Amino acid sequence: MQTLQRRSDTWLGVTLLLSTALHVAAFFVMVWLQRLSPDLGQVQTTYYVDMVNLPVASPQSGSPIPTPTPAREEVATAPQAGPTASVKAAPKAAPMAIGKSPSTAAQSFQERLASLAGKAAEERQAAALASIREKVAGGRAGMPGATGAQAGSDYTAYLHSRLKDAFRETISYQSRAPFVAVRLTIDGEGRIVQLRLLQSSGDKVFENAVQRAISLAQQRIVPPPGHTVYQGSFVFKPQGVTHQ
Amino acid sequence: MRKEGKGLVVALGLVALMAAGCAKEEVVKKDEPVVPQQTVKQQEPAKPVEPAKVEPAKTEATQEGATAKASAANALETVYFDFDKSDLRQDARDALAKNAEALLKQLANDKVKIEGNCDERGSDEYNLALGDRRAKSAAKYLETLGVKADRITTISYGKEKPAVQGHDEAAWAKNRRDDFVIVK
Amino acid sequence: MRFLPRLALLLLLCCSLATVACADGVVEVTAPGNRLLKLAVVPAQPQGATVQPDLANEMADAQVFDLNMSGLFAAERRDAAPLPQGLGLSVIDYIPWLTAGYDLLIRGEYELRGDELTVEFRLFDVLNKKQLLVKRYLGKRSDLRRFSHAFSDEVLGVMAGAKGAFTSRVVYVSSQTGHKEIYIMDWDGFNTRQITRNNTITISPDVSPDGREIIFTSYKRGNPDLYKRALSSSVEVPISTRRGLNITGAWSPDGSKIALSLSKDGNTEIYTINRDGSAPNRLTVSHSANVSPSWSPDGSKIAFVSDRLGRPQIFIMDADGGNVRRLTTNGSYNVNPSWSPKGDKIAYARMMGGFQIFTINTDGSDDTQLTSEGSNERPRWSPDGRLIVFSSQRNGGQAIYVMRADGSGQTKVSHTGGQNIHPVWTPRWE
Repeated sequence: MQTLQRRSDTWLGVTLLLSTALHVAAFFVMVWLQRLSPDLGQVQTTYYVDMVNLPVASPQSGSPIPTPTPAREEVATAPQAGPTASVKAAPKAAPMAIGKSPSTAAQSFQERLASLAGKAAEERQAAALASIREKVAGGRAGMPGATGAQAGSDYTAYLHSRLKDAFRETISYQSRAPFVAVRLTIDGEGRIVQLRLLQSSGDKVFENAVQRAISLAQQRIVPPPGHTVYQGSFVFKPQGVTHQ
Repeated sequence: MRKEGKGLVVALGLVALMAAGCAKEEVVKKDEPVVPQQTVKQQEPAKPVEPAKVEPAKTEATQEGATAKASAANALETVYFDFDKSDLRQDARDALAKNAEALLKQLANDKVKIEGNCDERGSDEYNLALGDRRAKSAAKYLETLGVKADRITTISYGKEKPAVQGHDEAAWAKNRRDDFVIVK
Repeated sequence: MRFLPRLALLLLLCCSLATVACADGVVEVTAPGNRLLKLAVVPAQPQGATVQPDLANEMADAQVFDLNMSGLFAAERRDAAPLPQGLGLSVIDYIPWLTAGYDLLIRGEYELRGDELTVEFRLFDVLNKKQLLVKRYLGKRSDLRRFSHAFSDEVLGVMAGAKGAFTSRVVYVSSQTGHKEIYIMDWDGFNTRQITRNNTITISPDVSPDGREIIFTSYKRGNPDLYKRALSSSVEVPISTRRGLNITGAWSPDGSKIALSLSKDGNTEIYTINRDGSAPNRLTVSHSANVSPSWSPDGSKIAFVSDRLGRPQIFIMDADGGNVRRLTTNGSYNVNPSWSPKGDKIAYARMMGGFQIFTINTDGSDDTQLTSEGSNERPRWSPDGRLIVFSSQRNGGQAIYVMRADGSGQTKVSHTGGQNIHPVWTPRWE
């Protein structure tokens, strides 16, 4: 491999550049796409129709045939655009103020309480940020001392330990012997750039728990040695529960 | 080449993981039921189910327990059963013999409705079937004693119409019964 | 020949760009326990001029109860400062919730105009700082609990892959008036309403698969006959008035037939009739009592109680009466079979002093006792199979209780006096 690289070869250089450019472009497209995908879910509007109290076709007759009545259709989700737009069109800033303007004793007390609560929240937030910083710093302490381009089993062991710690905090499931197998791709900066679900027993609660564990672990991991891209497969299972 | 090899290893690893179920089966309980678990109380063992035979109640006793329709003059005797049974004990046959005699003589023009009942212990739906069977076994016996079938109707109330309130064998024995009601 | 090493190198480079380092094999990650997701429900904030904290609190409490009973969450009501720009435009600050250990957060917004109520609920993933679900409900003020339950159903859908059934109701029998009459309530015991007023014995209700009609047995004409009525109407139509018993009616899953027990031919046997009562078809042939049919969810089989071997036991047969086999082998008195919506289990009651509720796989394995306090009868599954409703005699009364399908979380839900028995879960409101 090294002998090959020493040989100067323009053709190779061009392809290498091309390939790099393509990969970088693909990466930015993915990032951009993720930006685009809105955090806001779609607002689904539901009109409530009391099915139980809807009259049956003809209760007197022996067998009311369950023909689809128009009432059923009313239950269907309303068109997205209309209601969603109308909600957002009128930001309700005014009503918030209404509660606060009359300066009765009780209300000013409420206000004080609210401001206190706000202060407390700020303090909590500051504390949380500090603790997160601490955690990140602490994460480095557990880093194995591997150097160079060989991101091998040491980093895997390191990741395993981070994932296991996080998984302890998130594990939750609703079936008897759930499992989820994933493939993680971690870029040179220590970010999980791809999470691929290889296999799952189909327990949504467990899948969520694994996903949350990985999110949690991501906050604490350091880049792979030599800032290279790392890929590894992990299978998550509850401890002491076997497959049947 | 290297990658293929690795892929193979990964695949093999997966297969091995899937195939080799590891440790022993162990169900992990949810740590924290939201509503506190009710304390476990040991049920007292089932009461002896076939009790000593209860003396058939005499006419006076029957009148207390039976429905008001079985009015004073035409009182027919109530018939009693064992738990979860619809076959006629000897005392039941004696009572039915008296009832048949009354139906063939003093009450020759009347019709009778036999109401099958159960004690409170069994399942109410199953008891409806049991009461039905009790009423029918009395009806059949009356027929063999000469009362015409078209003069007899049956109904089951299961455990819905206890003659005696109470939760002991004495009450249960009085409730496992057929009442006889004259229908004009 | 010169190209070959180049090609190989190219391939190698492409590979190494994508995967410089690679773990050997698959690493197993395990953790002990099974934790509940910690969920905070913040009472919905007012959006209009009408401010009604009790309304917001009631909606939050309903969701807390629902989600706690699901067995997946540790939910609690938490007050928080209202979002200054409303739910739609404000940015949620996740940090305080994260610090307080919450996984999930529900916030809402309501607007009350006269009797018209609009509610919007949102579910947030605190850890991933992500909104998972938005739902908006429009209706009357009296629908507020229903809105809450509807959102709880959705939360389970998102978090567990299968919707909840908290919008469903429970039909049951109460002797509150001195007579056994049929009532309906929300699954959590609210909005109780008396349905029948027959002033006699009215029992054994079952709900049609569309949730709009009930059948029941009543002595209103002297004989235990089977009646049908729409929940929206007071007209009761007799559909089986055959001589003797017309009891334990059970609607088939497709709603086309009713299985019931008739004693017209001597023994109490199981028949099917059409939904108008016509075309009786006898399924069981025995010299014993056969009652309490319960359809499998696909309508192909019926579980029932028979004392053909002496004592009542649970049997399973094909829906045409063939292929009868005994299900329960433990215990000497097993009744009240109820087939789970997934079709894998049957809940039933066993007499052991009082009654206790068990579940058993349809192949007879995994016979498990769920209750032990007091006497418990008549298990019926919720439409999503997560909960079981039953009638319990404990603490001096007989009331309707619910529990999770594993027997945990037993909670009294009925509020009516007298004996409360024969609960049946209605389908969920769609």
